[in-house]
Amino acid sequence: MGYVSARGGLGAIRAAERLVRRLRVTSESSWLEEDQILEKLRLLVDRVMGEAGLWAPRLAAKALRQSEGDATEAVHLLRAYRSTLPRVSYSEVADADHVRVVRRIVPAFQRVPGSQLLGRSIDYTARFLERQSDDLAREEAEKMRAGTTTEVNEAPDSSGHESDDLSRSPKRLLEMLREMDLVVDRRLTDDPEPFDITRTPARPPAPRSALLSSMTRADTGALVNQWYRNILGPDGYLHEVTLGEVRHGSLSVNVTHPVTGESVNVTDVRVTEVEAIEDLEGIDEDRTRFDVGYGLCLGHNERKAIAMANLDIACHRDGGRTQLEQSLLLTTDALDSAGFLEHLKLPHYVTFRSMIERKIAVRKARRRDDD
Amino acid sequence: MFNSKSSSEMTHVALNSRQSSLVFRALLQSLASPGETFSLPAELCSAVPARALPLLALVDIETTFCAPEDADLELSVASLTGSRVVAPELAQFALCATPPSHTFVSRLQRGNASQPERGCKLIIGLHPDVAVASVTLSGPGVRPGTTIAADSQLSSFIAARNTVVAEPPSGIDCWFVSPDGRLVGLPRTTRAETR
Repeated sequence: MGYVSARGGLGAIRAAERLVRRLRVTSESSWLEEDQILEKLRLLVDRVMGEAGLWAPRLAAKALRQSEGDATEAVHLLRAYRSTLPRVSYSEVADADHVRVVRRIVPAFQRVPGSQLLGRSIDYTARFLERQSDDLAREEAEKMRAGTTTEVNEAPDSSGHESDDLSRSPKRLLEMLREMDLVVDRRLTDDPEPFDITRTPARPPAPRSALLSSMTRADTGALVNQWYRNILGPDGYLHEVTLGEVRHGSLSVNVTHPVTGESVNVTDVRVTEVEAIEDLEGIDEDRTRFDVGYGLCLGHNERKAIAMANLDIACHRDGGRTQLEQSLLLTTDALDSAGFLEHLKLPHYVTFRSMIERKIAVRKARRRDDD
Repeated sequence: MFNSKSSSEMTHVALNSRQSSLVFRALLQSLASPGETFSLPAELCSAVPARALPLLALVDIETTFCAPEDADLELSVASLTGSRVVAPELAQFALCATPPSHTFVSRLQRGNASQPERGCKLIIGLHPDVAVASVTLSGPGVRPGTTIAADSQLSSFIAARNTVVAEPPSGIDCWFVSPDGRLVGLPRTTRAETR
C-alpha cells in the first residue's frame, strides 16, 4: 500500500478543524452540561468507557460532547487520553463475588440462591415512543421527583427474608450447580499473570485472559454480530445457551498503600457480569455436565456481557477448529476496525494513479493482441 | 506541583493528569513538525527544570530511563514516577543535560524493523551558545527550508545521531529542551544535514 502524507493543504486542514470546533459550541441550543450527559445518556457513557477501557464517567461525557455523539470517536478520544496517563500503581485483584448488585437476574432457574433483583432495566418497559410534549414530560418528571422516590428505589423488596448483604452479594447459581456436580471444572490451580492487551496485541492462540480482555474492550455491535453469527450456525454451531447470571453492580478497586501496606479503596466501578451455561453434547465432551462462559465489562451493558460470555464458551468448545478466536481477537476492536476504515479517506493518490496506469497498460496490451 | 526549580530539591509531587497531558501534547506536536519551536507549559517550567518535564510526563512504573549526567534529577524522577533507572543500553528514555557524545548515542536502543517503538526517546538540554553551523532538516512534517542553529557540541551530536537513524524504521527520537521550556523535536524520520 502506498500512502502519501497530506501536503500543501495545511491551511485547509486547519480551517476544517476550526469549523468543527466553532459549530460544536455555537449552535442555537443551550450548552450541553456534563451532568446531563452522565444522567440522561448514562448507557452511552457506560458503553464508551467499556470500549475505551477506562473508568472515567466525566471524561467519557466530555468525549461524547466533543465527538458530538459519535461513540466510536468518543472511544478514540478516551483511549488516546488514557495512553498518555502514567501507570502509578497496580490494583489488587478484585473478586467478582464482592460486586454489590443493583440488578441480578437468573434466567436459568426460578428458585435461585439469593433474590431475583430486576432493578433498573428497560427489559420490562413497553417499546412505545413517548410522544408527549416536552412541557408535559417535564411536568411529569417534576411530580415523580417530588413524591415517589420510593417507587424507583433500587433496593430489593423488603420482605425480611434476607439480609441486605445476602441480597446485594447473592450466592451464584454456578455454585449450586457445582454442589450438584453438574459443571465441568476448568478452574486453574496456578495463578498466571493476566495478558495485558494494552501493552501487547493479542494474537491467536492466546490465553483466555487475552480473549476475555479483548472482548471486554470490544465494540459492542461487533461482539453482538459475532455472537449472532455463531449462534445461528453459519460457523457450524447451534448452541443451547442459557444465562446463569446477569448482574449489574459496583465493585471496589483497591491498591496497596505504598507506605502503610494497607489496602486502600481508590474508586468503585460499575460492571456488568454474565455467566452463560452451555449444554455439552459433543462426542468428546462430558455430556453429564454443563460448561460455563464468562463475561464482564465496565458499566451497564448487558448486551455486550451476554455476547461475551457466550463467545467465551463457544471459543473454548471450538478449540481452534474455526477462525472464531481469530475473529474475536482481531476484528472486534472499535478503533482497529473504524481506524482502518476511515484511513480510506486519506489521500491515496499514488496507489490510485498506479491502478489507473495498470488499467491503461492492460488495455493497450489487449489492443496489441487484438491487432 | 513541585516547589523548587532545583533538581536536587524536587520532592514527592508528580505532574497531575492535566499537566501531563499538556506536556504530552507539546511533545507530540514537536515530533509532528520537526525543527519547529514549541513551548512546554510555562507554569511548569518555572517550577522544575524544563528538561525533566518530558520524563515526568512520559515515564511510569512500566518504563525505564537513565539520566547519567544528572544524578539528582535521575533520583527525583525515579522517586516521583516509579520508573526504573537502568543503563543506557536498556533505557526506553534517556536524558542528557547537554548534547551527548557519539559513544553515548551509540549505546542507546534503536529497536528493529518489527519493533521500531523500542528505539530510545532521548531528551537533551540545550543552552544558548554560539552557533557555528546550520543544520538543514528535511523529511515528513518538515517545512521546506527548516534549519536549526548548532554549536560544535550539537553538530557533533547530530553526526552521531545520523549514524543511528540510518537504517529506518529503527533509530532514536530526540527532543531538545531549553531551560525556559522551548522545545524542538527531531524524530528518526527527519534527515539532518550540517553545513
